[in-house]
Amino acid sequence: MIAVYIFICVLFTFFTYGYIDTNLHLSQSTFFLRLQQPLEALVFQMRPLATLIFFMALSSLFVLYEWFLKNSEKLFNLKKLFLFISGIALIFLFSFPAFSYDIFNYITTAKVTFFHKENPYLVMPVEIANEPYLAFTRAANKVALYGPVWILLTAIPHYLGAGDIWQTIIAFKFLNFFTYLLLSYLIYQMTKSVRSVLFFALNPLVLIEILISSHNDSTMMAFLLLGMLLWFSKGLGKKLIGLSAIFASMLIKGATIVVAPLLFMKNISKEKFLFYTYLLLAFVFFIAAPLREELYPWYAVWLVTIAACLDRKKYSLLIGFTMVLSFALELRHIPYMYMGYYEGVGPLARTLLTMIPIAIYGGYIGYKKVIKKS
Amino acid sequence: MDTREERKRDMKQIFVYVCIVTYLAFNIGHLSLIHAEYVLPYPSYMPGNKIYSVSRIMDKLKNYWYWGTIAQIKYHLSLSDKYLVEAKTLFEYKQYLLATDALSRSDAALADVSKLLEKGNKENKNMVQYEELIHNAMLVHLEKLEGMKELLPSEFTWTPEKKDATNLPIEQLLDRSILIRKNILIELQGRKQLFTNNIYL
Repeated sequence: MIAVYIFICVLFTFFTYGYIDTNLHLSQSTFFLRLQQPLEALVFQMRPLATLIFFMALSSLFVLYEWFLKNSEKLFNLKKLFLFISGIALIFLFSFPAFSYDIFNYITTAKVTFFHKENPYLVMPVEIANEPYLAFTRAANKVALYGPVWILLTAIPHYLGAGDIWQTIIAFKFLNFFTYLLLSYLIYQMTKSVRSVLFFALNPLVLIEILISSHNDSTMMAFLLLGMLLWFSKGLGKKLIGLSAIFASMLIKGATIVVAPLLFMKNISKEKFLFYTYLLLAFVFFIAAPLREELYPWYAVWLVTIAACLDRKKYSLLIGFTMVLSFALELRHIPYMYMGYYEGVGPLARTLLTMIPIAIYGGYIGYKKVIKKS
Repeated sequence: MDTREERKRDMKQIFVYVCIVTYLAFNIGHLSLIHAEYVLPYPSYMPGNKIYSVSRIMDKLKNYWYWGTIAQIKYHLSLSDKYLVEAKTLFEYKQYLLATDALSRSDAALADVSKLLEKGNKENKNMVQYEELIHNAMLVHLEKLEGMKELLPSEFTWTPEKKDATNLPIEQLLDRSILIRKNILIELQGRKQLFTNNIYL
């Protein structure tokens, strides 16, 4: 099964190269172009087939995810676990960020800051009209969308990229590779459970949104989790470092600011802190964020991370819901893949694809309860 | 085990916080950056207002926040606009001494604009949109200054209580301000000429 899983991950990595923007030229190598062109044809000219491949890969990853969770204790000790997830992360490190343009926004904003030496909170990428990265950057007509800690962190991949776009993409993805492993480690520290680490690390939504599409939510959550871990440690020094890490998390993406009032609650236990964090982040995810923009799948990384730290038996319903939610949210990629545009029936299709699995799960839970009562 | 009251209190706190987050979610991130034709800002705090000195300090501090060539152009232009509007308002209220001071500050803010455009070009940034922006701004400035020149006395002797009188050569000061802006327009025209002659390319 492990071999099958790795095989699917490798195939998925190849598949992502079909989604390279037509204005983005990663390499002039004929070998690369020969490999990439059929994939591009598959993705852009045979959309139904590409969508089917995505759906099958996604479903397989979810089925195997469930299998890994069931057999986690039998399959892995701590060393094997980290070796396995590092291997998976390494495969996806070389995937193309296929399902979102956000990474290009990070890259271009970093270039505005560290190459053009402009304040990204005042100067939009589009204002540097001759910037070549504009050809494949979306939302270039906005000033920096993220906090100063994130902007500072992007200096590392920006300079590692050395002006080469492919090298820069890999460097940005490496930052996520690192935060993914850090999160897995922190979850282990929090729970001492192999299963909890797998719940996070092999969740297909995490694999797709963090390791493939490289959203910065993993960095925000890594700082939050590190902060929480230290906040509940003994010693003032550790608590202060923990507080700083939580503050840094807020200055990455802002969503974790909802956790702030929990820091003022006296004698709150770690378990309650985690549960309330889940509720508050779920509120931002389901209510506040969609009111402003849309229900983005990668925001669920917040919930998956926290759910991984919760007690499996006590919060089984919430954990089950998070799993179903992550599957439902990944289905939101399907309408665009199939149609090639976001509008039209796209919003309705995305809503239905999200709601149906959740409704089925709700029905199943209700049915189980009725059976139990009778 | 938690008591019911403790839980109730926790939930109450969370509810209040959730309300604040909802409010912020609606308000943050909806700031529009749309620019129509060049429009001067509304008058800000005027001398005499308690916050005026704070706003002047903020203006100076903003210089550090507006780092980068393009941001500096935005900063200097917005400062010049702000002080020009301040001067116009003060002239209208016959506060000539304060008005001439605001006018010279507006002029001073434009001192580095041409250099910044050149710096931007040297940094290989396409500055055409900023040249256009400054061009439009200077035309609006000139329109306001010409209007002021028509309405204001050419000279005025400002005599405060218990202090020496100050002679204010208003027309001369306005002429200087007009000249500064016309020089910028001439420089921009020259730059455009150079650009079309491919000297920059």
